[in-house]
Amino acid sequence: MSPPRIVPLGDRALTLTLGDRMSEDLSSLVMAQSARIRDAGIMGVTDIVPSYAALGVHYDPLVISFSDLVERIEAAVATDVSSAAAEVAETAIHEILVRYDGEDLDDVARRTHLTVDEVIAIHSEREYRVYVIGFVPGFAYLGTLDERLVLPRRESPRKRVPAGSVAIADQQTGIYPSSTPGGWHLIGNTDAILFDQNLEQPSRFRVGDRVRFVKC
Amino acid sequence: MLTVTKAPAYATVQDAGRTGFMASGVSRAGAMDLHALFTLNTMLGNDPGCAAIELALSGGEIEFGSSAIFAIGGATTGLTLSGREVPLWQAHHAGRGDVLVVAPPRDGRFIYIAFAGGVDVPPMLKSRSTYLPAMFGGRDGRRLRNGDTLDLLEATRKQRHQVSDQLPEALRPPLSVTIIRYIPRDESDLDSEFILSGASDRTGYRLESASPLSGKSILSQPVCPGVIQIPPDGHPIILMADAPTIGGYHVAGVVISADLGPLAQRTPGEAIAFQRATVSEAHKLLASASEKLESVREWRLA
Repeated sequence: MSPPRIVPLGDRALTLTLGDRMSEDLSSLVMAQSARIRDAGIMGVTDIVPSYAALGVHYDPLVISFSDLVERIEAAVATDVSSAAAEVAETAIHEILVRYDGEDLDDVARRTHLTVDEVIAIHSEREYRVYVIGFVPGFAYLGTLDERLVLPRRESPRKRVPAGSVAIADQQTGIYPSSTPGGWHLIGNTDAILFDQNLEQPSRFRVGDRVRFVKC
Repeated sequence: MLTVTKAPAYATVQDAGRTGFMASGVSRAGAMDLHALFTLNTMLGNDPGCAAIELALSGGEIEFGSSAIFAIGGATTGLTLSGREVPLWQAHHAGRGDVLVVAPPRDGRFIYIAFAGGVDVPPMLKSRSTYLPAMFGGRDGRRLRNGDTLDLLEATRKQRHQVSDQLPEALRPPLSVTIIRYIPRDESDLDSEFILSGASDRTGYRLESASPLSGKSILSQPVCPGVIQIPPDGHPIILMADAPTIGGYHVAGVVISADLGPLAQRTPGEAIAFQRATVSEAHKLLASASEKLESVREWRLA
């Protein structure tokens, strides 16, 4: 793992880069460093956004200067990255009930040379990790998908994917929290509410949480 | 209270936008031309970030159900209040039954109608901004429609009586800007001239150029309004107010905050050129924009 690297992301945010790939270790490190920056309680920091191998720190430049912010972040983050990754915060485990009746289920089975039952068994067997939340509010990128189910995204994205669709693409799986355009393969549906703007913590999942799909 | 009697093609309630929920994937949203919103609110004695109506693409019509003080600015347009022409960038009094007609934007793209007190819709995640991609905030998470009624928050007694002269041009936000400054992220060459594509909205402005840049997909990383993405087709996309919180395209740089409003006001077909800037230059420009607002406040009280 490389040492943290800070670069400006415009004049209201910066990126702290910790690596360049998707891995459980890097994700844990991103979480640990996010928590340290959050706990430093730096005035002027408005949002801390974890992603796979980098995290974004958004700030109000009328409250804190870029150089002061960099200094505060450098003081807050752990330089010993191997021990930092071990500081895993408490995370939740979510069970999501799924009806495996997605529009693309047969197509996925055909393209992966599996039966529909095998696709369902493989998808629901594993516990997934929330790597990133984004794309739309509450959309969690879950990994890592079993190699046997890995397919590239659809060539032409759908204009509307119904809310609650459980989908797969590349090495990831996810659930569409609201009806949006989307290029993933739809394998099932859930009634679980993943985003509620009336809650203080509007997204059901947080980065680092675990998710299990249960066939119903 | 007011009634939207002829809804513009694209009108939403917007304020300064949301902060604090980006880790849940919630975008900033808010006014596309923040400085125009801040200036109008300051003219009316509101907090700069009060909610107003943002409209684009066409004009519209509003009927006042009670008396109110309002001011309009942003893109250049024509206004009449119950048939009488009224200027932009000026606080006007409307009485019960008055009809405000806003013509389509002439120079620029987004027009703001601000009211003393501000538009009253229920705050969602600490903001009244409409966030169309997730359908919440503003008026039921959607664009304004014919027949919608909007309440106004109560203005102070002083605000209720304060009409004004027209704001001097020097105190208004810049509108005709064609050179957009950005903080580079890499060595991407943004020196050529770009044309703003028609496929541009509150989420992103697409640019076209004669010679596409070299773009690619990357491992998704945090993004924000202003980010200049270069997707594999080589035609840049500048993320705007409704930008997602993470993005999977190569990032060439980020447009400085001071130029995001003027960029938002460009219309499809217009040429755009880029110029490099540093973080400290960008911060100086933000500080001078906030001083300009202070001058608007002083002008109002004078």
